[in-house]
Order: sequence, then structure tokens, then C-alpha cells
Amino acid sequence: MKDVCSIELLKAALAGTVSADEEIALAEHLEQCATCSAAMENLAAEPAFCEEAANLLAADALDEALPVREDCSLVDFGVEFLEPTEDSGCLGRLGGYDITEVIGRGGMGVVLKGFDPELKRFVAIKVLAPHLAHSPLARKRFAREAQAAAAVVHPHVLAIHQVQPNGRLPFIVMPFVAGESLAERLASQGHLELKEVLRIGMQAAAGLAAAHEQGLVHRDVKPANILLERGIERAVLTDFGLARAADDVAMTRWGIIAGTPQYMSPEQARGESLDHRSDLFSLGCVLYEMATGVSPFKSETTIATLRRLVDDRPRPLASLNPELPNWFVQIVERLLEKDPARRFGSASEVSELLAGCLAHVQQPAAVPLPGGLVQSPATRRRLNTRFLKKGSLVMFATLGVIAAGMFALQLGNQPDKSREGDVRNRDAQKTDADAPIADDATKPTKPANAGLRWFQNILPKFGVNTIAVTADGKKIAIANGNPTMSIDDDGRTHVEDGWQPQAQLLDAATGDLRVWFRSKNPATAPLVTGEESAVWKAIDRSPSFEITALAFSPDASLLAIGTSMGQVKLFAIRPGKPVQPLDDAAGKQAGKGTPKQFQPLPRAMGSVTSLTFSPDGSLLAMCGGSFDDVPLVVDEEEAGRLGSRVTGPGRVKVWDVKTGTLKQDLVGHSYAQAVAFSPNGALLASAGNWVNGDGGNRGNGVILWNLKDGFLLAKIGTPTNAGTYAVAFSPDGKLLAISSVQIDKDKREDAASSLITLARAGSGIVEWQLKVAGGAKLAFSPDGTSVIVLSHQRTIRLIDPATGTTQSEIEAADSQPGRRWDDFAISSGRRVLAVGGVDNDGKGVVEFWELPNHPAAEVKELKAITLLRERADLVLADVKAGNAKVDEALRACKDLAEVDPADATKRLKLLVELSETMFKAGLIKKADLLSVQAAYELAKERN
Amino acid sequence: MYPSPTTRASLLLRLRDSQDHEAWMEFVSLYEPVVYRLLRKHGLQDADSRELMQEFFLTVSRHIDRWDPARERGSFRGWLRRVTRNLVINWLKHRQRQPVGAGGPEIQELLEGLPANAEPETAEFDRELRRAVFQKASEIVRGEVSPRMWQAFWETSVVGSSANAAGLKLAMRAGAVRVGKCRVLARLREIVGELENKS
Repeated sequence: MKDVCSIELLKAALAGTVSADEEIALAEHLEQCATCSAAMENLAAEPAFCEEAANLLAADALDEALPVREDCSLVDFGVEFLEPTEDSGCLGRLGGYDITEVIGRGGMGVVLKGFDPELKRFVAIKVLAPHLAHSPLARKRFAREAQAAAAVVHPHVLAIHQVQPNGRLPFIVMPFVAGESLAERLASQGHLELKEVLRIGMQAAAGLAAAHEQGLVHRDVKPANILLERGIERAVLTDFGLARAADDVAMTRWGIIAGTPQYMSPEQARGESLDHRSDLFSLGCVLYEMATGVSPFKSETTIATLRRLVDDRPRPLASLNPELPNWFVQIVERLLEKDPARRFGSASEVSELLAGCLAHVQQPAAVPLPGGLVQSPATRRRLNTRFLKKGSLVMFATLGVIAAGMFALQLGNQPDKSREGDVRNRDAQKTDADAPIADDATKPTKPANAGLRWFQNILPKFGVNTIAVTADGKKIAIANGNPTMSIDDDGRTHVEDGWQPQAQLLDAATGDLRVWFRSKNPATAPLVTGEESAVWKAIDRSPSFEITALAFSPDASLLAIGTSMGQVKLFAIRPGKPVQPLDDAAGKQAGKGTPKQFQPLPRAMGSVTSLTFSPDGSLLAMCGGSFDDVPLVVDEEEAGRLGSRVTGPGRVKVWDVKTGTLKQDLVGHSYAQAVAFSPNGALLASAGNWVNGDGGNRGNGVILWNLKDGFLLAKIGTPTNAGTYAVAFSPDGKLLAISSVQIDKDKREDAASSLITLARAGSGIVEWQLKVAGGAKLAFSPDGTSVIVLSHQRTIRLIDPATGTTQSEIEAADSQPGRRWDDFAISSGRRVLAVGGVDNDGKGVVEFWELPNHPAAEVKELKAITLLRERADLVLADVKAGNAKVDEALRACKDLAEVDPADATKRLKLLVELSETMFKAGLIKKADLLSVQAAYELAKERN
Repeated sequence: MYPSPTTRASLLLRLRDSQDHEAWMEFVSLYEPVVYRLLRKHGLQDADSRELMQEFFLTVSRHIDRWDPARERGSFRGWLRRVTRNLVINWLKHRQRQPVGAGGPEIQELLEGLPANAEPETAEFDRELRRAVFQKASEIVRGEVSPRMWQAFWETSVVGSSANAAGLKLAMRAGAVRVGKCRVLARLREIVGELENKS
């Protein structure tokens, strides 16, 4: 125990480097010892400083008057700076114009309406915000860009009359256009009809073409920047290049982009150099939104939006608006290509194309579609007839409304239901859950050594992003966040807008829909009982979020749902009863109380990325995080990394399921992507990114935690640059399979690849590594004989954990061309692999495969034999060298004899010879020699 | 009364590099309240002060390229002070020339009120700057410590309560209040030192 009066201790206490106990002891001491108290205060700061601090930190009257640097006060400022005027109808004067009102405000500044007394016309004056005006660089850019934009004269580009870059505040004068912006129109109308979409798109593209010709890139094409002139319905592009000036300064020292980047091109988001084709991408986003009412990459947060637009395909247009012709969808999809080279070559090309399409739509009989566009009816795909041939096809027994939810697995024979519209199949035969998995000969599988056997499919309406399956394989939970169509009692479909988290659970025995979580329109959900609607309202306070993680408890009595808002909700699944949320600890009335939910992350912290129960079902672990509060690096160096440098804390938390108490709060990651319990429940592995102590070095990989005390046991780093996304323990707990992603800057096409690492859980020693294309999800087979890897949304591979060689492989495209597999889950009890995915037309699918059995058992044995053989050899060699005892060698050979008598016999023969020599040399006793000889005889007999 | 730190070249040099946005933001965030408060203390209204504050920064940004530490006598800070003073004078004179109603008799008084000798102003400027430095430092330190610890410091050092009283208010023991207060003060001192050196 240190002397409490030592200077070192006081200094350490000031720096905060003492332990909690020492601090408490010190605090106690200070209450009694005035000397030490005074000493500490002196060490902290001189009395003069303390006095100064007291004086200077206290607020005074002037403090209230000084405006804080917020948007609203900037706007006020923007008006106040105007010169005084005698005209009482005006707010003031600026640059010779009479200012009559404030038209709009934004991050960049204020837009004022003015009157030009000389030319007798109204003008719009855009004033650069003062905090931007501070920056000489922003002003220079502002002037330069405005002057360049002034050079574009085109009917679909808002003209610029005058640019005033100097003076107290720079401003730009433009003609005043009566009308509304496209953003305003979309807000009031939702989506527009095809003719209008084509017309506006064509005009905007023409405007862009004119600007591109002048060498200008707009950089901020979005509905708010497209004005629709009242009366003549002319679309006009505004705000050219000005976005750049704002960006430079609006990127604060933390580099957070101001405003929403919903329409940003991927190359912009990554901070790469961009050209006119970046505007084409943004135009594609605008067309998408005009046609569907929703922007393609909209998300809860800025960073989620950026990630989506860099990585993800947008939701298929057809799923949002089925009336859209295929050729239109193709045009938009081409504009939205991540690789600029794959988009159209120029805005003028797009404009001409859209003009041709518009002409066709206006007169379909007279005018054909422009060449190169394929005309096909915008009908929904018919059910793939392949599936009809199977005897064991199960159609989903969903009653009435389906919203891409959870479906129950029913094994066994079902009557054939071929129309996809006929979804009300309550009469599905109830089958014995233990019915043998039906053989299917029509599925084109790989040859016999493929190992995996397909046995059936289920077709939910929409794509499956996340899937979980109970151990007995009887229940499947599927979720996605797509806006959906729903089917009411009469079989009519409705298209609903916006994000809708979807989750459904069906009772496997009766086919009843038990519970259905949706965010909107309770009116269209007749199946959701009153109780459940109330539950829904109680759960959901925000209008939209996505379900990002799912997990069943091992006994299938609980379902945990993780959302993009950082919430984790638990639901109880009781046979014969409606599914209810768990009551909270306060014990409110069953089903009516606040549902039990764990709030692991404050809203800003982002989504739950992974959920899992411990093997005994007593604990629930989650991980998650957000890129939000971190710098978005836009310089060239980081361009290959999606432009994100993670320094925010990733969360890994563990709760006691029964009591809801938080057992562990593990901090070590900057962003955590996956968690897994070790089979014995003692360890937790979390995969993600981290920042090393010095704050500069970033790494990613897996952290192993000791659950008893919450200490970090080991960190297994991976050499990839983007992040580690998945981790799984082998069933014996000895091995870890890890998947991490590498992003290659140079390649455009398959820029991401995954590295599968197999390491020993105890030591972190890497056994092997395997590179696969795209992102990867993985798991061990229940018997530990394979590592199952889903890569690039296309391929599932079974890999031998011992060597890293591929045992078998299946492709999504073999099931259906264009199909994409998003997630899989393994039913530990039944060796069932359930794969969830989506087809090209946006329809979802769940495929069921049977994992191979026999070959695996063989592998195990072979391994054992090899080991024993090696051991026997080693010991024999040692005996020969005089290092080991004969009885050890004998034991090794006997062990070998149990599995491979023939081999053992040979070795025993060798041992006998050795023993005889040693006996003669007096190294061993007669008794030992005799036992060896006896063993040899025995083995010979057995053989 | 308080030691007058000299402006180290760093921020100044960085300001001359017009690419360095961060330097500008730092400069503006530190000096904005200084200039504003000085103007208000000179008797200007809120709106006029804000306007002149903008002028100040514009002037600095326009002329910073040409500011040569070797040639100019005095420190960078001294130059900033002169800019402020000149602005006030010019502005007052400009307003004086406006037709009646825009300026008013007060302007004349203000002009006459400006001391010919700039000495008291120097002290005033420095005092405001020091204040701004402290405020900024306090923002930084407040972000580093727990709310309780900050409160412990605030109650005792600024509000002036005793450690016991503060402890009762915050449900902390008096000794812990003392430790918290000292820790915050120590850190404040560090940061103030850093900020003074940089600017």
C-alpha cells in the first residue's frame, strides 16, 4: 500500500492512472488530511490559474447574445446582413436588388427572392453562408464554379445572371422560377406516372449534357435540384458545381458529410476522382425515385446509405412498382451500375434514349421502342415449373397476407399447388415431422461426390436476407427489410411504400400465422390479432427499421430479433399459443406489458449485426455498431476501403436470458460484425475491426473473450484490409473458422474477396487459409467434418477443416439462373442446410439441402488412423534410437491394432525385432520381451 | 496582469496556407467570441457587431498572405488587435456619414469615446482572448471526463461551493469531489497551455 501522501500517487491520481481502490482510499484520506488536500491542489494548478478559471468560465450577459454556429442562426444572419431600405415591403437590399422574402434555406446558405428595379423582373439570389464565406478557398471555388455554370445556356439549366464573389458575402443571381422542385412534387405525389418520369428524365439529362459539354460536372444531381417550372412543365437543373464549394468546408475536422448522400455515386462516396458519369448515376437514382417514390439507397443513417450505394444492388424496381416496363428498369439499372464504365457513355445518349421511349409510350402503336431495348410484358414471373415435379413440394401455408416473413418448414408430402397466386393453402397436409426426407431426382445436382442433397424449396414473396432455423428443423425464421406487397383476404395485392421490417412465424403443425411484425398499415393485416397489433405499437416507436439479425434459442422456445435501430427483442414461442413478447422483469400482465427488449445501443450507434444464444440457451449475445460517428476519409489513400475509418466503439454484449440482466459488456472492437459462443459456453468469439492502442493502427479479425470474467483472451488478426465478418467454432470447440474481406482497389468487377481462415481456438495458430470471391458467410457442419462457406452470394462449399480442401460445392445458378443466396442456417439436429435467397425478379426462395453423412464419418476415422500410425512410428523410431521404452511402443502399437490390425502387425513385428536385440544387449528385461512377442502373436491372429 | 503569450508561428503559418481549412476553423472558432465581445463592449449593437465580426475575418483572410512577421512590428496578435480597432473606427465613421436615422447621435459619442491611446485596448483584447481560450479548453476537458466529475469541478471552482456542499449535491463524498476538481483543473491547465502556444 503506497504512502498516501507521496507526490507520485497524487500525480497519478491527477492523471487518472490509479486503480479504483486507490482512488477511493485517496478520497477518504483527503477528507481527513488537509496537507495532502492542499498538496494535490497545488499540483493541479496554481491558485492564480484557479482564480482565472473561475472568472473566465462563468457565463456573463454577453454569452447569451453570441450566436452559436448553428444553421438556424446562420439563416437569420443571412437576412440581417442586408442593407437597410426605406421600402417597407422589403426586407432589405442586396447588391442593387430589393429583397422581398426568403425562399429557402440550406446548409450552404440562404436563397432570397429579389426584385430587379431596372429590368423589372424577379430574381432568386443565393447567398453563401457566412461560415463558408470565412474560408477563402470556398469563396474562390464558389466564384469559379458559378462563373463556369454561368457559361451554360440551355433551356433545361437554370441560368445565372450575375456572380458576386467579393464583398461581405458572396452571392449569385438567377432568374426566379415559379414552380416546385421535383423533391417537393415527389413528397406530395409519391411516385409519378411513366410519361412524366420519362419527360423529366429526358429534360434533366439534356441539361446535364449541356453542362458536361462545358466541362462541368454537377456533382449534386437530386430531386431538390431539379425545378419544375409551373405552367409549361419544364424541368430545370439548378445548383451546378456549387455543391463542391459547400462540401469543402462542410466537411468539418471530423469529416462528416453534411446532408444526405442518397444520390451520390459510388466513386464520389469513395472519394475517388469522378467525371460526368457520376452525374449519370445520380440521374439514375432520380429516375428510380420518380418511378417508385422511394430513393434506391435510402437508409437510416448517412453511413448506411453510403455503404449501400457502394455495395448493394438497389431493391428491384419491379418489386416496388410492377407496372414498370422491363426496358425502363433496364435503363435505370444501367445508370445505377457501380462501375462508371458500365453506365451509359453520355448524358446526351440518355436524353435521346428517354425521348425515344417517351415517344413510344405516347404512341405505342405508331412509334417503336428505340433500338436495343427489349420489350417484354411487365408480368410477374410464373412459378418455375421445375418445382412442380417434386412430390415433396411444400407451398407456404400463409393465410391471407404475406409479407416476406417467416415461414415454417413442413416436411413430407403435400398436394401440388402450382399457381403462385394460390397462397391460401390452409389445407396443407399435416405431416409427421419425422417423415423421411423425400428423394428428389429432378434437381440438377452435381455428381455423387457432391455430398449435399437438395430436397425442397419454399417461395416467400420477397427476398430473404436473414434466415434462422430451429434445431429440429421445424421452424424457419426469415426476415428482410424490403418494402413489400401484401395480399389481403380477397387475394388482391397492395404495394406498400417505404421500408417495412418483416418477420413472420408460422406454426409448423397447423400452418397458422402466429405473429407478424410490420411497421405500417395494420389495417391490411387481418391476421394480426388485436393483441399483437398492440404489441407492435408498443415495440415500435420509429416508423421504419430493418431486421438485421435473427436467432432461435436452442430449444426453439424463444426468438430473438435484432434491428437496424440497435434494439434486440425477444419473443416467446409456445406451442398452441400465440407468440408473445416476453414480459419484462416488472412482471406486467402476460402479453400486455412492455415487451422484453434489450436496448444495447443508443439509437445513433447503429444496427445489431449478429445475435446468438449460448448452447445451453441461458445467454444471449449480440454485437453491433455503427460507422456513424467516425471520420469518413475521402482522400485517395483510403479510396479502396469504402472510405471509412472506424474508430467508434463496436459493442459486444451478453445478457442473461431469464432475468434480462446484462452480464458482459465487451469493448475491444471498433466495429463488431459477428459473435459466436464456444460449444462449452465458456468463450465468446467476436469478429470485427479494431483500432490498436496507439489509435493509428487498424486491424480486423476475431477476439476471444473469457465469459466468466469478461477478459480478452486472444486476438486473432487477419491480413485483409476491409474487415472480418464471420466467425464460427467447430463443434468440439477446438477450431475457429473466420471469414474476412479484402477489397482490391484496382479491380472493378470483383473488387471484394474473402479470406477463410481456420485457426486453433486455443493458440490462434492458423491451420490454413483459403481465398474465395465476394463476401462470405460460414459455419461448421454439426458433426464438425466440414466448414460450410457461402461466398459471393453464389456458391456454397463444404471444406475439410483439416486440410482446407473443398469436399463439395453447389451453385445458386444451378438451382435457378440469376439466383442469389443471401444467408444460410444449419439445423443442428437434422443436418439440414436452409439457404435463403432471391431471384432476379425479386422473388425470394428458401432451399433445403441435406448435409452428407457417411463420407464425413470416414474422414474422421481416417484421421484417427493416421494419427495413431504416426504415433506408433515415432515411438518405434525413438526406441530404435534408444530414447524410449519398449512398453510405450507396445502401447502405441496396441492402440493402432484396434483400428488397423494389419498395419499394427507390421509394426509389432518391427518392435519384436528391436526388443530381441535390446534384450540381448541387456537393455530390457525378459518380461518386456515376452509381452511384446505375445502382442505380436495376437495381432497376427487377428489379422 | 496576466502574462501575454506570443503567437507562435504555427497557426499563423497554417492560416497563410489557404488549403488548411482546419486552421481556419480553429482560428475562427477561437477568435469569433473575442472580436464579437470586444465590439459589444465598445458599445455596438448585436447586429452591427456580428457584421463587423464578419468584416474582421474577411480582412484577415484577405491580408494574411501579405503579413510578414519579420517586417511587421509586433506580434500577430497585435496585428489582429489593430485590425479590430481600425474596423471599429472605420465603421463608426461610415455610419456617421449615413443619413439621419441610420446612425444617430450615439455614433459620435462612440467615436469620441474611443481612446486615442491603444493601451487599454490591448489588455482588453488579451483578456477576451484568454477567456476564449479557457472556454474552448473547458469544452475539450468537459468532453473527456464524466458529467459527475465535471460537475464536481464546476460546483467547487466556479460556483464556489465547498467540497462538502458539492458532495451533498452530487451524491459524492467530499474527498472524491476534491480529486475530481483537481483532476479537471490539471487537465484544463494542460489544454490552456497547449492552446495558448498554438495561437
